[in-house]
Amino acid sequence: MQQDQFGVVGRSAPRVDGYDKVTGRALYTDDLNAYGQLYAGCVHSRKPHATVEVDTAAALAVPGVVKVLVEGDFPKPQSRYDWFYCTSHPRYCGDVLAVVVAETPAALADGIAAVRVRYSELPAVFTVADALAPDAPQVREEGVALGEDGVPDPTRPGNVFLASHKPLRKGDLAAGFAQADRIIERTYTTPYVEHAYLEPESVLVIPEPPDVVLVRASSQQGHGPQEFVADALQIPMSRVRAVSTTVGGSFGSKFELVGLMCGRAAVAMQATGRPIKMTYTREDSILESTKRHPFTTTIRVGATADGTLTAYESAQVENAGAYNNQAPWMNIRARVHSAGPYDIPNIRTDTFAVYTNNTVPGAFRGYSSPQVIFANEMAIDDLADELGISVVDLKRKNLLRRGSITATGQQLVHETLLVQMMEDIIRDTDYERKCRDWAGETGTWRHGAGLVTAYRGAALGGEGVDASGAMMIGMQDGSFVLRPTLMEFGQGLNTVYAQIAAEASGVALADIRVEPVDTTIMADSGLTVASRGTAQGGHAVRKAGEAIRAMIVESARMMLGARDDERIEVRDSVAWVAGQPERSVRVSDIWTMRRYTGQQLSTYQWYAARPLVNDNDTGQGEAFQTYAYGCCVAEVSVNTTTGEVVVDKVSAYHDVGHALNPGLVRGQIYGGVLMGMGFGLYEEYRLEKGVSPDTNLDIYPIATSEDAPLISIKLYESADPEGTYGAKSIAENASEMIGAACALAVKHAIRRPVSKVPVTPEYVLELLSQGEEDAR
Amino acid sequence: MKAADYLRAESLDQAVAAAEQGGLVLAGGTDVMVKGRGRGVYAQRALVDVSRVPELREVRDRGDAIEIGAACTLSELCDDALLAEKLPLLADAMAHVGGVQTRNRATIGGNVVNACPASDAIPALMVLGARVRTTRRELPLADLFRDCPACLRHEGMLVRTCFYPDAAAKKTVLEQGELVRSIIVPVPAAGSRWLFHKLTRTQGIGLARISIALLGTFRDKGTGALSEKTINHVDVCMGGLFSKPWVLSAASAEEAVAVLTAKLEAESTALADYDYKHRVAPALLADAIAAWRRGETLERKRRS
Amino acid sequence: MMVRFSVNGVARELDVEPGERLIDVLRERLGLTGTKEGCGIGVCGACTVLVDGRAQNACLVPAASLEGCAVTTIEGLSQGGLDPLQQAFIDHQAIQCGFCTPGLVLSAKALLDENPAPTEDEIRAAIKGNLCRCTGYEQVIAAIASVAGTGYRALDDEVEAPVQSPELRAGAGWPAEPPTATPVLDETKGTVPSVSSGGGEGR
Repeated sequence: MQQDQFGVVGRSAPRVDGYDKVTGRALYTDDLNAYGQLYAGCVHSRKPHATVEVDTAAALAVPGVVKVLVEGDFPKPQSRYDWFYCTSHPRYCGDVLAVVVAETPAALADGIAAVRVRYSELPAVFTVADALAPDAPQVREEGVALGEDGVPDPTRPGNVFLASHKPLRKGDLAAGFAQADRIIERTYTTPYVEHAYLEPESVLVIPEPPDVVLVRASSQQGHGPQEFVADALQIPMSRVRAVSTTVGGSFGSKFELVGLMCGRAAVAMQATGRPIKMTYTREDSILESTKRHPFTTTIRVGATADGTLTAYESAQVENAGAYNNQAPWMNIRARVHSAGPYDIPNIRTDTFAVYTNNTVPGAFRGYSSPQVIFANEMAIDDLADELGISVVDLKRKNLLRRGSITATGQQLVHETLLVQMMEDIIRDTDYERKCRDWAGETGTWRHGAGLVTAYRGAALGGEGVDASGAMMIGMQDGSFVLRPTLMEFGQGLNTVYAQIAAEASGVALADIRVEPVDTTIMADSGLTVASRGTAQGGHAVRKAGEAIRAMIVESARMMLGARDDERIEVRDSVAWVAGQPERSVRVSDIWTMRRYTGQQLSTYQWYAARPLVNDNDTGQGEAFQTYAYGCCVAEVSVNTTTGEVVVDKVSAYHDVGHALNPGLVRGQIYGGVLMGMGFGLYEEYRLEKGVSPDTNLDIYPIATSEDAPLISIKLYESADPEGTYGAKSIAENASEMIGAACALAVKHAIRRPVSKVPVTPEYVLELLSQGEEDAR
Repeated sequence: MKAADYLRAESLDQAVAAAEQGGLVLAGGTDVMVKGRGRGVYAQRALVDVSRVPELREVRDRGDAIEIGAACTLSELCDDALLAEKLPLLADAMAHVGGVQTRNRATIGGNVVNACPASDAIPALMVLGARVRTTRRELPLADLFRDCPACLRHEGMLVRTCFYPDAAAKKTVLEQGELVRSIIVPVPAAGSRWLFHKLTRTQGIGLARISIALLGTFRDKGTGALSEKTINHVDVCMGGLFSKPWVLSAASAEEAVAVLTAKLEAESTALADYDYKHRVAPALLADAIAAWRRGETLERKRRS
Repeated sequence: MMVRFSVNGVARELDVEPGERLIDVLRERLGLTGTKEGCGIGVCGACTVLVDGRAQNACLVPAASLEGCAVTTIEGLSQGGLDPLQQAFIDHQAIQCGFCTPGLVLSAKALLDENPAPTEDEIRAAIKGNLCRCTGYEQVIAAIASVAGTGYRALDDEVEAPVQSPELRAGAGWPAEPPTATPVLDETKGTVPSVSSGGGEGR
């Protein structure tokens, strides 16, 4: 099916929520109120590891304070997602020690301030290195030791999170290194990063007589709040109804914490019999929300003199914090991407997380890929330097092409544009000439360019089962309600879903209204993650639309008296006999007829992606249904006096398969570029012995309108049959390459090896104090 | 934000009376409303809103100086034609404060009285030789400030985490009930040239890590060629480095850098990011003086 | 204490606490929840409102200071239909999660009221006090520039079609149904993979 055969997808349809959002009518969770509601908030641990005694007397004496809940008031203090609703044994700064409930926000603030906590501090560890030391205190009982071969040893206690270990074994590593003329070994590190969505977390839990709990929450997951509330109260999930609200950004984080808040609010609701609203301040949000996992990655890579990669070995070690719900799944992706978008015959990588008494990391746009790409691309660039060849030539020789076998043993069978895209971007940006011209610069401002190539497993793939449902309900006036089950939280999913439903059904886009996720209507379709919403989740919506189209066609055929060999067309809510537009009937008339003749008016469809099989001990098998390809060039200026790095231009080229809404795709890329730039250059959630000074947006910097570089985007469409109408993914792809490209550009500008992000002014000056890199 | 009372002062007398009784003076509130959030530090104090006091709202051309009412907002001053013409250094410095929303409320008097080492306006006012007219006296701006070594340890010098709820009482010589009426800013001599530069973590809305205000003149050798001009005299005030605003006067770049370095090493080792600032500030000053001599700025736009 | 000011043209007389923030008055007393709180310290701009036409952060404005002022919130901007800026935000995909959108629209409104034809740099300066984590600002600037009638590069990007791959140019398309089993590269057909496809019924 070619582009011109589509009527609705492939166009920049305006957002279905645009009107509500520009007028302020869109209701986010904190904009909702329930009659008789109380306000709840949390007392967080200020010590990284301790046992505590909580004295609630002074808080209870504050006028307006209704209840103070401590661990003993929770039916089940530890959540099913590992960390705690409430605990008397905090394992990081941010664990919740008490929940205060009050009549007003002001009384709540006073109540929280009046809770007295006595800490008995316990030994704590903070860095991966400290946690792996032989005599390190054990953070979690389930932790295991690291064996001498760099592989977790389940027989001995330690701090390695065993379930997170994802080994990759391909070919014969020793033989591969034996073939190499050059081998380099490098270690790279990345920081904790704060998501910094603009809307702080908020939940509202309402008792609905006789025994149902209604939850509205700023959750990335439609069904997540239901699960947490049932877990916290220990009641059947059927007694919990979650209805999604407008969500002000998430980027991976509004899952576990929002779920915990729902659980806490539910317990407070049960204790008071009244609705509970819990809205976090920005400080609460930054303290307790998850962060990007910090990686320490050691890479050994070898190549022959002509630049052919022969062997690749790495250890990707993450700081797991005190609790962790994500590393076992995230590391499936981190394993698949570990050796980069290169055709390498011999690979051994190990990826695992290590418990510490640091803040809890979680999912964050990319789900390991910005960290993995940074280390991998720096190593490839360093190797090219070592070989004395251009990194472009090295990439030309080794990049994945159609027919290549990936690190996890999957042959790329669909159209693979990566090499073409790289040739385009280096030509369009004049990359090679700029690198040459800038190599000899002196003076205060130096310039550099960084080139990154990437491949990314599209959608959930082998991380889990990619299945979801969608419902379409038609009214007798021809208007339709679409109920998808994956969540809109800013990315534009509901708009794309409406387009897909309109395309598939023939119902006019304007006649389709997208409703929130409601757990009493739609079955749990898993998490809205992995950039799966359009590519895979869209299939369920497409199937719902196709089912509606079949009903329209069936009824139209009957109403128009069309013969079996006459084709029925449907578009813009009108059905007609092909070639005879005068023989037409409106969908509204069809649905009126169906309504009064007792025919089905709705459809519920389910889609499960084809199963993928791979071996957990080696990672070999089929990891994702397909891959999306990207490349980017960042151009920077570096001030050698101050260490400032200014990003002048970012070119971002993406193979998106099929851009179902190009305007929304571009929006993902523009935003992703700025987020990636922060990762590369200035965003770091700092922790010193478990405590962070980065507590609000005045000290944690996110890009403003004046920090944005010139951004040049090129979208590619390719013949890939896996995603909905050919769509791949973009949300995470948009951000994952940029930090590495900025870091590489700085490396080239100052001709010093860069081994960590963010490349702060301090780090630039530190590098400048070292001698120039010999290889340049 | 909790406070004991709120008075919208209609006149200077009314404001002074309320301040004498212990009221906390508030103009735009961009500092007070941040510090008062959560910590309850003003729960027992009355807020005295001076933002509409007519005597504090005027800008007067006094010929050799401009007298600026303390409650004029930074936006009003940035848009003021007289300032743009006579005091472009000050206008430029104030344009560097925060975003539009902040400048629309923040006042020049508030900026001075908060006495933050990372203030954008103070370095400019200092090199311009500003004087402060209070309700009781007139004094050089430099004499308004008390030494505040604790500020050096304050990472980022953020308003939110400022150690002093009542900065005027702790960090200035203002007495209880004494209000700043106006700032009197001399118009620089003809032939003088200025430069302002603010170094931030990102280009956006952050506070200065280091700021530089430069004002000075050249000795005219009559050649007309800019590169051959020699510095006659330059005054420098740098933000983010010292426990009290301080003007460095020098006759050459080398001298300025040497004096700055010596002062940093003597007085500023307690700075939260001393290593960075000790390395960067002198070099940045040298770059600034070089740019200033060429009639350029250190600003570099993000986009090519 | 009593304070009288107008909100979106409606006169209000309210008894407020000393120090009570405008944002709380708007959200909690008047039900105008389009004004958002993102940081509480005047950094993010999500609570931007217009006070006498000027953009201010409602989290830092004591309500008691507003005697005689005219406050405009996002709800007041569309009283006679959408403001052209609001329509432009929709048209140029300048919205994602939307939490910063009311503030951005109002900052843009204040800018254009004062300077109807701003340059790109002036637009960037006018909205730098409005943090947005989603959009990267490009389409926001395009929207503002479109209302101002000044050109902007992201406006040009909107008409640029994606690059079609060689196979698409050769006539390949996207089947409605994805492969139901692992596709294999069919060597006999060169580069065309053989896939077991559902066939795209009804299309």
